[in-house]
Amino acid sequence: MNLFDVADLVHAGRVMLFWALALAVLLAPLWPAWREWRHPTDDLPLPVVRHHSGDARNFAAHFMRWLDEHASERLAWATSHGDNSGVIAMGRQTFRLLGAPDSWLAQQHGQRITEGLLAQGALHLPAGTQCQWEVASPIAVTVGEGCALRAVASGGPLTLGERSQVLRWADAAEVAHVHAHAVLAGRLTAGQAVVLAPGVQFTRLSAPRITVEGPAIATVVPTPAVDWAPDRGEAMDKIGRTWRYPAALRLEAGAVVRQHLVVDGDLHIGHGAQVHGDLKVHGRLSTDEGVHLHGSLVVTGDAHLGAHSRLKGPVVCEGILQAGLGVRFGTPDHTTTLTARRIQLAQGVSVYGSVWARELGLTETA
Amino acid sequence: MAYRMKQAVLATTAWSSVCGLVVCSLGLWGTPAQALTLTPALGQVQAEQGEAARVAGEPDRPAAQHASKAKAKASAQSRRGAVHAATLATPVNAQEAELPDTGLSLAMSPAPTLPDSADAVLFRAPEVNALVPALPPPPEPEWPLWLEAVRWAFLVVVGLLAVYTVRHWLFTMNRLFARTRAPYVDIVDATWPQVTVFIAAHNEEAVIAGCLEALLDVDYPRDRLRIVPVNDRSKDRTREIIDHYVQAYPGRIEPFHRTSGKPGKAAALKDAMAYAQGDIVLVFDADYVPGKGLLKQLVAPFFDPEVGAVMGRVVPVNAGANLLTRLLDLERSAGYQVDQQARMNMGLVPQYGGTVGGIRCSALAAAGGWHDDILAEDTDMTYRLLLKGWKTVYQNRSECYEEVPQQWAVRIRQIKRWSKGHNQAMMRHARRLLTTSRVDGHTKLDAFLLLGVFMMPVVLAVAAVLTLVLYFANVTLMPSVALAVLAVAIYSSLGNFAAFFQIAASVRLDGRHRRLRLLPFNTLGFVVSATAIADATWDLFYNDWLRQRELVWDKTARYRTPSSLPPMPAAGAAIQTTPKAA
Repeated sequence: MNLFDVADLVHAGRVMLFWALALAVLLAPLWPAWREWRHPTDDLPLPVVRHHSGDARNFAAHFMRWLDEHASERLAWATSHGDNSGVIAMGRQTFRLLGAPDSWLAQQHGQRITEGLLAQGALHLPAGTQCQWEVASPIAVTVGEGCALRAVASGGPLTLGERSQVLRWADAAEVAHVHAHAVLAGRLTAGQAVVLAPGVQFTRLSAPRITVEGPAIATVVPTPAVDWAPDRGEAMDKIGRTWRYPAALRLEAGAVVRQHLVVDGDLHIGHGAQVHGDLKVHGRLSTDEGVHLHGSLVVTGDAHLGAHSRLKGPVVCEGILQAGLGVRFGTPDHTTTLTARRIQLAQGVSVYGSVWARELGLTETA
Repeated sequence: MAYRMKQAVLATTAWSSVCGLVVCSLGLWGTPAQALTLTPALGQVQAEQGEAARVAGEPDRPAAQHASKAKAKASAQSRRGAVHAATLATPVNAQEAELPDTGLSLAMSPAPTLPDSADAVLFRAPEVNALVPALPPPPEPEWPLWLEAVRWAFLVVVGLLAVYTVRHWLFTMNRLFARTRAPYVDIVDATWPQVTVFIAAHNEEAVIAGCLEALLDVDYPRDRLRIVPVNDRSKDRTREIIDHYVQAYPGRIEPFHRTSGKPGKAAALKDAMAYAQGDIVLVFDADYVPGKGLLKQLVAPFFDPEVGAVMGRVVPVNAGANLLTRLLDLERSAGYQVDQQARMNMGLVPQYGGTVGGIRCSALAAAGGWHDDILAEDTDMTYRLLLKGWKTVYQNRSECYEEVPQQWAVRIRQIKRWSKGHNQAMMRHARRLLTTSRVDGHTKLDAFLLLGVFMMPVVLAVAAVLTLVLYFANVTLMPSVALAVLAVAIYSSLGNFAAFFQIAASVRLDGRHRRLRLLPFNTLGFVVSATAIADATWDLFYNDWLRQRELVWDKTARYRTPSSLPPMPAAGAAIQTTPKAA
């Protein structure tokens, strides 16, 4: 055979092999695609929860509804028959019925409880108790020192002891009192108020009133008010209601800003200054004592709010937010939201509404 | 999570690299001429030339000059075949070029034994090629001017594709590994402002009731919410249905029955602004079904005084209807979950989409109000707000169902309308965008690239034509071929228009893994879209622009039927709403 003919054949073989391999690899993914098309295994629309309303007490409400649907008859029977020690199985979960006081619970000191607890009266969890499932009482719940719970619901007041931990959620129909160094990895909600001791770690709090224990609110010495007029920048709208300031800005003590203000830089607000519009800061914000912001506040950097400042609108901080002594967010009539990546609340801070720390929230110690 | 991300990245990259490999194999394998000339004869001739040159030697030629010329000729000779060109180029590296007497030393080296067989030539290419620098320079390629122009055009096109590739790659990587930015979505307690909700409706008897029912049930203070169905010259039962709800819920719905005027959504919204109360207007198309908490989520960003518009996420409700809807579901997922959210994360320009969104009236007025002479009023609005210094915010968690087209013809008409409108916006705003001082550099770049996305299928079509021209003209310059291979491979891997990489990442982020198996079929969707967009672009420039033809609004078909809706409520009925959260 001619050598050239052999070379031709080898060359042709290579070409064919290349194309065969290329086609095989190209077509291979079409097989599962074809199967998925002809026999769908995942063709439902992405879930959009229509009933989600952003209610912070949603978890607790959902649990109570679930309990009502699955255990109301059994609970009623247990109550009418005086059965305070039964166990209810609901799906893969079991709940233990507890009387008040309950001897079984007293024996569990320091033990890990693998059942949920449903008390028919006020519930007191001894120090060191660990519970892997929900704990609920229609009257009141007191959690001892160093306890670790998955979730807890109280039909009345709720007290979380020192260094106790709640992993998912805690809800009180009345006042929730959190003692020092407790850790709230999930959310804490209350129907009336949340009172936090120093050193508490949290992520989400929601109640008509949230306070950090501390000294009474001091009186701030008033500063003479002076209307502030922008010396730089431009109006963003036709009527000059929103003003963009193109650089860092320092508002002097007593300055009164009467428009929405967007600052392209750091902002310092002097003692007793007032902003009657919304405020956006592209940078860091720091304020002296007694500042009043009547609108919303949005900060792309960190924010330090001086002692005894008043903020009425929502506060959004993409960095670290430090609220000084006695700072107040919202009013009883105008609830608001305070949200930041990290939040530090000093003593005496009060928030009417919700606090959401996306990474970590902390109440400062003295 | 990291493992799943890695899986997504690997699977997508592997699959699409293979696609890129096959697409580019043409270029790697060479031209038709090469297919014919990649024979032993070529190698033999080459070897003989080398032998002759070795005997003759070229001691007078400066080495550097020789090396640079040899490099240039190497690429020129690639007309004979990419493989051959590669072997030519091999020994002419910088190191050898620095030797003062390369040519001489090569000429004096022992001559290799040149085989007769072609196989030997191929396998001993380095030895043969060692002689190449001593070759007399082959004649310069004499390409006509137009072919040179085509070469440069091709390089420009490849450059454009590469830029978009990098952009989408960055977006996808951002979504896979960076922190999601949603600063306003946590605002749940506030003194909520007065808002007006417009429902854009034109012959929407099949869907309008569902939208009204949903809006009547939202969690928003009733005294600060005005619902305005904008009935734009409907000829079906839309008016009747709206009026029925107005009677059933007195004081809660303020209808606007538009009976004349310019057709189109932008024109209808422009007229409807007279019904707006408060500084915030939310817009829904009639086929949307907002959830209870959606209005608060969409209003929350307006507490930021810099925000001019807000956009939520659209989720196809009929995703499982047929192959088209399933492909569109993947595409939507990529467009919102990756593209929009990445732009939000990076502080760039999320796009206001015209529905499931809102606009601040004062910003709208500052930007000049609604323009009714454009098919994509949403894109137009995004840019006019941007040029006036207002921000647009995207909220991935503000989700709402919509219907996507279930027929290819409807889909083609829809994307043609989008394409025309987007390109109109490009022509209006590109120059001002580049010259404005209100927008910073990287935002400006992203906004400019976003303006051009509906031109990319046209660019891709141009690239295909140029490639064919270069191919059949026997022009396969090695550097440009390599560049094209690289660009096309990366482009097909990561691509434009929420392509494979973005889709894979978004499906993983959405937690729906098995639908990813349909990914290869998206090639079909992209081919159809690219063709439709190219056609629409031609239509826009030739018919609408040059011939001054009036733009025609084309409404997207609905697939729900009136009979599938729940019965209308009796007059005076009241929907229970959840009390406002503490």
